This record gives sequence, structure tokens and C-alpha cells, in this order.
Amino acid sequence: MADKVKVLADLSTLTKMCRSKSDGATLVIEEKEINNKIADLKAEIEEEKSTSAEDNYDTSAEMADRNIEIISKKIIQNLRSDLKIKNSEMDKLKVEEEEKSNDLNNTKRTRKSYEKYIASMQDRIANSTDQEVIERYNTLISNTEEKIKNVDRILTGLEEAYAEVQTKINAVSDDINVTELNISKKQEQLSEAQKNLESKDTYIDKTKADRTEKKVKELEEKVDKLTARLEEIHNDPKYLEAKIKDIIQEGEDAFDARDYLVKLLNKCSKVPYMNVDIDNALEEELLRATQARDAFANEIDSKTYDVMETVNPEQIRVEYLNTRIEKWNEELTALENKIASIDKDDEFDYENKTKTLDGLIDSLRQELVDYKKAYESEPESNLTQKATLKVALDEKQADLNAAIEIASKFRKDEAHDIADASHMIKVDVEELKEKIEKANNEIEEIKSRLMSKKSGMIDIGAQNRDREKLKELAKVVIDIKHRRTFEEKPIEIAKRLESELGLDLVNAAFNEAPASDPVVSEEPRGVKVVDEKVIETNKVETEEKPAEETPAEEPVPVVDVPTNDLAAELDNYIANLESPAA
Amino acid sequence: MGLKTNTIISLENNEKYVVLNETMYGGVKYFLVMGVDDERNVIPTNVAIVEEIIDGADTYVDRVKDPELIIILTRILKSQI
Repeated sequence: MADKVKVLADLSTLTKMCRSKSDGATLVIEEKEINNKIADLKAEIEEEKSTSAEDNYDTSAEMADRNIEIISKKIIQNLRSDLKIKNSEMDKLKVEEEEKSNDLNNTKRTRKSYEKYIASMQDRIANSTDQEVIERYNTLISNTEEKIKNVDRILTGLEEAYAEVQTKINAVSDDINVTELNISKKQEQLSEAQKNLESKDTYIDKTKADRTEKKVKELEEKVDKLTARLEEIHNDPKYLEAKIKDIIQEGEDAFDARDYLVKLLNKCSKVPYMNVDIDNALEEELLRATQARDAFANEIDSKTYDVMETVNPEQIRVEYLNTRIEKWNEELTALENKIASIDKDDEFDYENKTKTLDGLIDSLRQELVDYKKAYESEPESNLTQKATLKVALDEKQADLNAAIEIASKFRKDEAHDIADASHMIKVDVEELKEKIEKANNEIEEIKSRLMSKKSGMIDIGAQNRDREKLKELAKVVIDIKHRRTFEEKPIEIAKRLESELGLDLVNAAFNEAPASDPVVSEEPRGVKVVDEKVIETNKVETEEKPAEETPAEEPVPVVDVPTNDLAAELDNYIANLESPAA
Repeated sequence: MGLKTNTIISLENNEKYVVLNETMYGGVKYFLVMGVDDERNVIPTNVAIVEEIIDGADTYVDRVKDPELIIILTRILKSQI
């Protein structure tokens, strides 16, 4: 019999490894309640589905259609009889009409013949002078006119009779049309009723069916939710522990606990780092993880998450505007410097030049006066000297004119520069100042819009992302520290439970083949290690090996490892990543 | 089961390596190895970082190829030299 205490202790350890925050007993009770609820809901669903077909059938509508069918048939039959009578009456009226028409025509012909007779006699009278003949014909005419009067009376009677027949014919014709229309309508009604009676679906209340379907769907959704919660419970380590404990404490067959144990062991094996040995490598990993977490935490602390410091459309625009403002300010300064240099006459020193030129012009004027005096005072008799003086006088005059011209050109150039400076102030400087102001206003608007947001100038997205990253880094530290609280790995506990309870657990939970029964598994990555020999190197001290691992009679070989080249070789390894050394 | 430092391992493909250092990263063990010839002479230019893979009672090694991972592991291993 298994040692219950040991088994329960191992069970407790496995559960702690999984870090469940639930309470096992509560979960077991919750499972029972959920199972009951699911059963009730399923029963309700079945009831809804089974009664819906009968409940939704509208028998009164079917009865109504049956009545309509019977009555419509009877009415149609009566109308058809009625129609037959009317048609027969119409036939008789048509015959009568024809007879009357014939009588009328005959009577009209008779009248016409009398009229012709009278006309011929009148014509004879007109051409006769014989009184006797004339009298005779007049008598005949008179008699014939009497006859015409009779015929007219008869005609009137015939025409009245004919009109009466026609009126009757029209009335009967209207009756027949109405009867045919009624027959057609009743036929339609009958057809519809018969169509409904042929298809029973017509009498199923659709809205009621839809309501039932909706209710069934809601119930099924509730069942799905409860089933999902049940699945969560069945996978909770505390629940599994509670079930296994019950079985063991009640002294039931340990095999009943196998599935729960396999599930629990499987969950443990999936906890990060739980399958890893506690050794220096793990300690180094913990140190690195702690440093990474702390370094990132410090990095976050120093961040302001200012929207303007992260890459986003506003930041790009503001940076661009600031660059442009800087450039415009440089241009503005250059313009202002240029204007100042013109105002101060720094560049070309017009003032001094003008002074110098004015001095020179004055000198030339004085010289010209002297030359003129000398020329005028020279006697006319001394032609040669006079001529020479004249030439010199003319040349001096030309020099003076040239100097005046040069002074004028300088004044023009200076005036031009001053005009340029005015233009720069009025137009170019103003334009630049406007551009700078507009850009500054835009920057203010952007900042104002960001400030008016609830998040203000804070980049919430970046802040949240960093928090998540910090959580992940912290989780690694927590996971490793959690591992360090347990001496053993789940597989080691599993092996012990396997032997205590006599159950096959390791294979099922960890998919490992038992040593006695090697199973060919899927080819793993990498190359298989077929041999391993312990050595001594000059790099580190040899690890202490347990006696059974090192055969006593075999000397441990020594291998020289060039340690000074190792770091360099690692660097080369990285540099040659695309063409590895080996 | 599992690699150990200061051992010479022979692989199924007839390669041999001396296991010099080990480290762990992301819950996986990695080893710094250097090639050796049949006379147990070390080939200094044949350096590699391999991942340990345990499959049942067998151990496999797989050379790490991810450049970023290699850089990280190299930094760690160099600090141990």
C-alpha cells in the first residue's frame, strides 16, 4: 500500500509548483452545481425543441381555409348556373334583335318604295296636262301618303321595340361580365385556399417558431459558458489535487487517480523553468533576468513619455517647423546685418569716397582757374606757347568733367543701395517675420490640441507598452525564483509517485519512453551525442565526478585549450556568421 | 544524460568537440565547444555554440544559427572566460 503521507506531500508540492490561487473544495462544489445546471438547461432545450412543432401549428387557420374551399366551390357552381341562364337569355335577345332589325329594314324599304312611287307620280303629273290623269295620280299620291303615315307609325313602333331589345341586350351583357368576374375572383380564392391546404407549413406560426429558436440559442449559449467554466475547473491544479486526495484518502483504487495525476504533472511540466535543474546556469540566468528588469525599470523611471519626444505626426511636423523657423531667423539676421551695413556705410564707404572726390574736384577747379589765367595772360604774339597752354587747359577741363561724372556715379550707386535696403525692410523682412509667426502659431495650435486631450502630452500607448515589457521581464525573475523554491523537478516527483502508486505516469505526462522499452520517436533537431569522455583541461579545474561515473582504471586525458585565443575566436565566430568555421 | 563541461563528445556524424563552458538562456542550456581531431588536439578555429536537446535517454546538440542569439550568448560566455 502506498505511503499516503508521502504521496500527499508530493501532491501538495506539485500543486504549489502550478501556483493556482483557487480553493480545491470550492471548485469541487462548483463543479457539482455546474453539472446540475447544465443538465437542467439541456432538459429545457429538449422540451423547447420537442413541443415547438405542435405549439406553433395554427389549426384554426386550416379550418378557415377548408371552409373557404367548400363555400367557394358552391358559389362558383351557382354563378356558373346563373351565367348559363344569362347566356341563354342573351341568345334569345339576339334572335329577337335580328327579327326586329329585319322588320325595321323591311318597313323602311316599304316606305322608300312608297316614296319612289309618289315621286314617279309627281313627275308624271308635272309632265301631264290631262286633268283626269292628274286627278287620278293625285288620288293615288294621297292614298300612298296615307300609307306612308301608317308605315311611319309602324316604323316608330318597330324602332322603339328594337331599341328596347338592344337595351335588354346591354343589360344582360353587363350581367354576364359581372358574373364572369365574380367567378374569376372566387376561383382565385379557391386556388389560394387549396394551395394553403396542400402545404402544411403555411399554418406554422413563424414568429412563435423564431421566438422558440431564439430561446433555444440562448440556452445553448448558457450551456457553452458553463461547459467552458467546467473545463477551467477540470484543469485547475487545486481541483486536481482535491480529486486525487479524495481517492487516496478514501482508500479507493489508485488507478482512478491516474488521469488527474497525469494532468497535474503535465501542467507542472509546462510551468516556466520547472523542468530545469537548479545549478549555476540557472543562477546566472536569474542574475541576468534581474539585471534586465532593474535596468529597464530605471530606464522607464527616467522617461517622460512626452508626445513630442516620440515619433508621431505632431512631433514630425513640430520638428520640421522648428527647423524652418531657425532657417528663417538666420535669413532675417543676414538681412538685418546687410541693412545695417548699408545704413552705416560699412561695406563701400561711400562717404569717404565722396569726400575725397569732392576734394579732388575742388583742386581740379582751382587748377582750371589757374590754367585759364595763364592762358589769358599769355600774349597773342606767342602763338606756340598759347597753343600749348590751350591744350593743357582743355585737358584740365576734361579731367574736371570726368571727375564730376565719377562722383555722380558714386552717388547713384549709393542711392541704389539705400533703395535696396528700404525694399528689404518693407518686403523681405516683413515676409520672413510673417512666416515665422505663422509657424509659431501652428506649433502652439498643435500643442494646444494635444494638451486638450485627456491624455494630454503623455504618450499613453508607449507608456503601456513599456509597462507590459517590464511585467514580462519581472515575470522571468518571478518564474526562476519560484523554481528555486523546489528542490526537485516534476519528473522526479512523478517517478516516485509511479513507484509508490504502481501507475504509469512518467510516460503519459512527459511523453518519455521508459528505459526498458525504448520507443523510436520523431527525429529531434541536432546531431546525436554517441560518446562522452571526461577530460582535464588547462582552462578550468575538472569537476568532481561521482565514483561510479569514472572508471578507476582509466587515466583522465588532458587537453590543452588555447585560452588566449578563445575570446578572439568567439569574435571571429560572430564576424563569420554567414560562413561558420566548422 | 545531458552535456557536461570538460568532456569530449563524439557525435553521430563523427565530429568531436571539447565542451568548454555552459550557460542558460530562456530556460535552454547552451554550451561553448571547440573542435578536436582524432588525436585529441584542439582545433582553435573550430568554435561553436550548441544547444542541448534531451530526448528520452539520448542527448542531441544543435548548432545555434540565429545571429542575434549568438551575439547574446557570446557576450555571456566571454564573460566566463
